[in-house]
Amino acid sequence: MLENYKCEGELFDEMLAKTPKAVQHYEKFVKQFAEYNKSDFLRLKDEAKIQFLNEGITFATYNNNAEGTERIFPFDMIPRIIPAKEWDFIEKGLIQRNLAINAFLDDLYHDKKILKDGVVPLDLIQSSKNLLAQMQGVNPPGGIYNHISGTDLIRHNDGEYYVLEDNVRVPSGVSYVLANRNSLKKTLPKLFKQCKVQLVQEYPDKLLQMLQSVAPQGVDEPNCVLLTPGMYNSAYFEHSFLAQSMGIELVEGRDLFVEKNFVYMKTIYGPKRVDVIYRRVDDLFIDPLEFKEDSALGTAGLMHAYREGNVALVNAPGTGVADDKAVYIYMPEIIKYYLGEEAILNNVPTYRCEKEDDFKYVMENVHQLVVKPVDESGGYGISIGNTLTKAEIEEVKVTIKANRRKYIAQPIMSLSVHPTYIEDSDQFEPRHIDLRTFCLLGKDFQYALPGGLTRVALKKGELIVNSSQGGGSKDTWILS
Amino acid sequence: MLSRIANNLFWMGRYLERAESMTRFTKVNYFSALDGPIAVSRELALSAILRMNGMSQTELSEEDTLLQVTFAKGNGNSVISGVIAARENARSARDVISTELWESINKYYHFVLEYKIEDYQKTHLYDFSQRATDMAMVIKGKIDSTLIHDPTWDVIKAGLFVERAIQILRTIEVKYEDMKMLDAEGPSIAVRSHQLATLLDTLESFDISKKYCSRTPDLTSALEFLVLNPDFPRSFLFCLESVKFHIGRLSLEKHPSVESAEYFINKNYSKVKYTIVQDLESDLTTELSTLTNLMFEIAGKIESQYLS
Repeated sequence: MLENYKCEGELFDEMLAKTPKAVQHYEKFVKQFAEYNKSDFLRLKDEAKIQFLNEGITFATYNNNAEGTERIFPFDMIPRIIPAKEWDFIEKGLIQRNLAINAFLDDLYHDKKILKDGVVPLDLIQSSKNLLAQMQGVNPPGGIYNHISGTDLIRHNDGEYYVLEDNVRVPSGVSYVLANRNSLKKTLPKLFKQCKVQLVQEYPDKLLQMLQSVAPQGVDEPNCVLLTPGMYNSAYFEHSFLAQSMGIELVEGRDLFVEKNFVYMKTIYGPKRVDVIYRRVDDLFIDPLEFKEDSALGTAGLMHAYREGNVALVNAPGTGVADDKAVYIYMPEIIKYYLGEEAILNNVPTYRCEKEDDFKYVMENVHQLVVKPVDESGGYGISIGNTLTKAEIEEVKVTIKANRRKYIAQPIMSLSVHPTYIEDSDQFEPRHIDLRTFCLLGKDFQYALPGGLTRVALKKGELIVNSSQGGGSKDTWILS
Repeated sequence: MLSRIANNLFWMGRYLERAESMTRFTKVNYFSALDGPIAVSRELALSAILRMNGMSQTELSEEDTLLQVTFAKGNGNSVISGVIAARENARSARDVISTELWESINKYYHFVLEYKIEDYQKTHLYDFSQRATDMAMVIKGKIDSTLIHDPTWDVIKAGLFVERAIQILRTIEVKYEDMKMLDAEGPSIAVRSHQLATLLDTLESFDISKKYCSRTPDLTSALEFLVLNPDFPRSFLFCLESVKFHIGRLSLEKHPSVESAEYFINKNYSKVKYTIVQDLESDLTTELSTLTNLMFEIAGKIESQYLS
């Protein structure tokens, strides 16, 4: 079925890599895949869809009706394949980068040496809305801030990987990695026969191990819980899935209370102490006494208990200052400053609109740049220069001028493409992809999930892959 | 287990049982009126279906009745509302229940939600009811065979049996009303036995009760079987004993205190156990409502001790 697949133009195709035939690491797969015919493939695709629906692997948008509108995160059955050697390199780069981010956060909330040494500009940090005064001088259990990092990678048409952005607040998507793998194994088992693919199913165990490693001092058998905003949150499936696969309690803010600076959960047999909270609730909602007063999602007194060292919060509050897209520019320097190493993974060249020279360049070149707000996620607020009309370009300029700190710009990176089944044309066509990776840091503990979530933009030519913007996903195979 | 989750699981059990009971009641009563004695009109069957659903004041066409009791999302007692609520409760607790159980509930939910209402109203009432009931049975099988028999299981089971006990009483009450109405129009043995058969069939006990009584049951033996039989899973006493069993397992107290749910259930269980059918028959309507109130009180006790 993939024999006639073509990719034209300047795009970098993962399977063809600018050659007419599949590159070596796709060869076995393509051969095995040829054993299925189109009608088998379509039937299996529908079966996979029903399986996702029955298992409730969905994300939901809620209006006023109780059952909401449930959507399956579109899953493309052609896996993205990365050879082991390439992955080893990425893995090292991810761990290096996230260790540096951890050191950076520790420094920002303590001595601020990097600012005093002028490596990162003071005003850039001070003006970040994600810098939390409440975290000043706090020593998180295990010394870890960004326990879970979701670094987004892309591959440019030069064949190189680049870090597109860091996500160190509450990155999501890992449950789809595991669900996609399960689904592909059930529907196309033969594909796995020839290709030796690295396991992803150990992620929940690793996650639990990490959570336990950062328990407060003196706690031998920590009670770890996952804090969710509740079942109407769009990522609720992931929250319950992770809690279930780790065998820990899934709690909401109203299940917890703080007494004498210790956190407890309300059980059928009375209060039980909580030691580690993997919270999937944003900073501003975790404690109404310190942040948003009207938040019903958090627990009053939680931050105080945290500062006392009686409970670990994963990730630590205030990490958002490090995944600010304007701070991203300084990542190579940050890595060098703390680790004394050159950055392994490339940064995309980035212009900070706050800087005079950069601002001037951006104003003159909006048409060939991607302009992004520094503190948004989910693909919101992004404008891609070559898709804009003249009037829209002028609008973007006005927006940037009004708040220069808020915007950065990057050259339009040509995300690599991958064969993807497109329902409308009933064919395999190239579509842009990226890779959301997952990296865990604990006390004396480091782990990167082999592969990650390959996100695919299903619309032709579209560069934004986020699920909230109509993207889908693929299973990602790291060959062993 | 978190109290909130326990509460949701308790209600999951209750809603599952409620939806199943309504499905069965509608099916059996609808079909029993098709070939029953002339006095048993279709209107009476539809009215019974509405009364069972708590809509005693309403008069509706056949199609609207079926729509209201089965597919009306605005009606909190409809089958679909029960299924949605059961599934939402399960969803909130899906990390503590087994994947197998969750999937069977989710499948049931999608089945009911996607069923073509028009088909149901016109031609497929039997097909829908049968498949929905089968799915409910699968769910119960998964509750028993895929969960650890720990507090999670006990709470779900307690919810199931509380609701089943209430539904049994409610079914008897509605069918007894029918019998009285029909009697008023002139007592007839054929009509009475048809109504008794419908009652027993609604509670899936027509064949089995005949076997137990060695003949077709009359009202006395039907009541004895449906309320006081200790061994039949759709008898009130059996349900009460099951609630007692599960709450007893949940309790950590060696000697339950007078205020506890366990004490209250045990005490009342003994009372019901030594009730004889003549006690019930003397004033059936009042006795049924006393027992229903007892179940409400038991549910209240469980909720305040464990679920809040």
